[in-house]
Amino acid sequence: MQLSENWAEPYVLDELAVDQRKVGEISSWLSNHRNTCGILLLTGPTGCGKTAAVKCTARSLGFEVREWVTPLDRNFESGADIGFFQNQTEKFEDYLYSCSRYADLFVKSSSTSSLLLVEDYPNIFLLKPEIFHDVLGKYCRTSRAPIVFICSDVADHGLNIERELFPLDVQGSLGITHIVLNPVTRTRMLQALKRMGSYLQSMSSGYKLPAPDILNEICDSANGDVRYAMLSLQMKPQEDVVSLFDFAGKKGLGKKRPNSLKLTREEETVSACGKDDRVSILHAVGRVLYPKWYEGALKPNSSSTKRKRKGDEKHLDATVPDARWVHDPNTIVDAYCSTASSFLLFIQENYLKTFSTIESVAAASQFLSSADVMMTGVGVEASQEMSLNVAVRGVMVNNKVPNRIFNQVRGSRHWELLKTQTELTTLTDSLFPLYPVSHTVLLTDVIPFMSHSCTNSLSNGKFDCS
Amino acid sequence: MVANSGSKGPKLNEPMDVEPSTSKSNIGIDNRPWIERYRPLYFSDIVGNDEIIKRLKEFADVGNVPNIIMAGPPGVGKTTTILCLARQLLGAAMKDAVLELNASSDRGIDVVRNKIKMFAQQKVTLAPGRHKIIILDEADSMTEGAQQALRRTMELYSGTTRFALACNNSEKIIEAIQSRCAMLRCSKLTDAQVLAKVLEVCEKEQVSHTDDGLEAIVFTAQGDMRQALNNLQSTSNGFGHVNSENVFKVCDEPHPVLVKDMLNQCVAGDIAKAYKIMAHLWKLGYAAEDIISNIFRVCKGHQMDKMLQLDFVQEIGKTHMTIVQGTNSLLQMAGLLARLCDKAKSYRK
Repeated sequence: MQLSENWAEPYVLDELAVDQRKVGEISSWLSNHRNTCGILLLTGPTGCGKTAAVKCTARSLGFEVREWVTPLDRNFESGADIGFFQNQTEKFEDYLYSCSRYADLFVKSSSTSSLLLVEDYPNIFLLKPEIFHDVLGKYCRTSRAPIVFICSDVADHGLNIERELFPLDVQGSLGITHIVLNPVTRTRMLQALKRMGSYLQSMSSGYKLPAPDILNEICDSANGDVRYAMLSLQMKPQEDVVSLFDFAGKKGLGKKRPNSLKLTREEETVSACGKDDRVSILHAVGRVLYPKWYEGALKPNSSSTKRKRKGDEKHLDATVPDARWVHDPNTIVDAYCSTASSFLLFIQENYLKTFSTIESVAAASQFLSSADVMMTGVGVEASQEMSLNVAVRGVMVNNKVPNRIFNQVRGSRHWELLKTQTELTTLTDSLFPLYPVSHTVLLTDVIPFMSHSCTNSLSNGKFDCS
Repeated sequence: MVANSGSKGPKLNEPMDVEPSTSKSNIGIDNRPWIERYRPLYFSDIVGNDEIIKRLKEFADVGNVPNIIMAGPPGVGKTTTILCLARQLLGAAMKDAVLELNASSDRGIDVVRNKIKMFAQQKVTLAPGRHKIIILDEADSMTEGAQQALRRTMELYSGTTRFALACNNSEKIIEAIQSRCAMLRCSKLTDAQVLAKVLEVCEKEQVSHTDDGLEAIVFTAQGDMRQALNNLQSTSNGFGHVNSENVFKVCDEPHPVLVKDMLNQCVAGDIAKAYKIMAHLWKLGYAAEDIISNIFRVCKGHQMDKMLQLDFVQEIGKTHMTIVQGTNSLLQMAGLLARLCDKAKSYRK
């Protein structure tokens, strides 16, 4: 009831965080398929606004969206079946048939046309995609309304709905249009966050929109996932905003040197690990990449900040006997044990830029690789802690003179690369079904030189992606 | 017993009322283990992770909580926090408006599609801004298909129902669900936090204890409150007195003092003395995995040179891997010691 407002779901096209060009594609497809059969497949990473885009464009073009919701098939409380039993496939077929033909009884104006939307796939289709393809074929012959299927990309898990249910040959034979949405861009995300902020303000007058820094931080951590960004904004504690302002006022001196301010602030803002997942994971990675030390038993904040102001009188690293960590690796590891492997990926993605000598890179990468072996070798909780500990310590100890240029901590591209790899593998499979070498050899040693050896026998373009 | 479990609320106050009496009479009244008896009912009693608790408390006052995932190691109060949130939000309606499913309940795709949807469709009258809550404990053990079935359900019924998930490893939760929930990451409790609670319980239960006993309890617990209280109760029930010797007898772990000594011998490069200790531990019948995880725990907190510590941790990790893969002989442990001594020697040069 209240809720869709609460999540500040976009209602009109201007509020959408999705790329305008893609929205244009969707709306032109919709207007071309009014009251005729047509299948649109919409994919993209989670939280990039797929559903919202469809709903908004449909609303603006006067479509009535009718979504498939997998119904209950048994009455669990009473334990008895409800009279007769209809299996999921039949129910789905019924839905497709009736919704595409008959208008909704509760819609007043007769001019609206229906649009079918499927996001929640009946389980039987995932087990047996052939059934789904039959149903789709039947739909193409009989229906009188367009249908939109929404799949989110999953790179890191086994169940890939898009590949299972909509293989390329089915897409071709049924004439499915495929639109891929990209992750939400930074500027659009910021706009959306501001809109959400003003909405929260209208809900409760005491609400203050967080400082621009924090909004930027949320954008970075959300990684193109606008829904997650909204949630992080909502979960962001209000007091923090205030304390950050206070801090900026108190340490006004540091403003003369923007670099040192950045460093000290980095230290202070992350008072507690694990406050809010993805926002602070970037901080924690930063702590690992730029290890800080203080000497002896002195208080951390008094000694370390003063020393920095004086301009690094004495250099501190792991070889100095009484140097101590400002951030203990054990606490970092404890806080991020539950996402050990993604933390490791973060470090692997970012560590190279912060090192200044090749010797330390060599040493650190050796520890990272052994941590990686331990991490993926066996799935025991305890070994995750150990391997993460090795990785964190390996970087912190070996990075003796961190490169102090500020670099944005990036998300890992590991899964992206894996995904491209699998795509290329399926492509080469279909192109060279009987080639007697492995995919790796094919991709690295055969295809790049093919254009030189036998140019005329190949259609170009296909291999640009390799 | 049946009557007891029905009236949780007033009964919890009883230990306080009968505080002067001995612990034995307490046990007569309340048969639950200590960990249940002292499970916090309100946010103010929860130890640790203050930021998260504070934020949830704000939500509990205002209502309209987003879907949440609590991720963190065992025994830090994930489930307790969620239950507290539900209690504060729903009050007396908690009985009707909360559905709790954990790993032992059937949670296949069928259950997600049917039981959860049924519950989400049920009509329960609640104050504005309050929602029914579905608690999925140990959500990382749900199959991927079941999680896929959950994702749309979460949004369709978001007008009436909120989800609270608890898990140890948030990477086992599919991205689609992570995107729909606010992630709250709990960290391990600090030793001081565990110690404070243990002391409090000791006082209430009138346990006779020594300082080194409590220290041992805290060391064995490793930031896991559940384990701390269970160990405390077993030691106190078994021996009547909590000192370090009894604690390590009950928990049956290699004594950290011995392990520490062994590491020091390795740092000094004396393989013979180090091996003597290892052989002694082996003879006591500890499994290789117990010994290695204890060595790791001692080593990461050990005061030693940072470079050397890094090498040590790496070697221990590698040995742990071989042990988990099945090569759990004394020879492996001796090999570990030899490598550690070697590292220490080459470092000194």
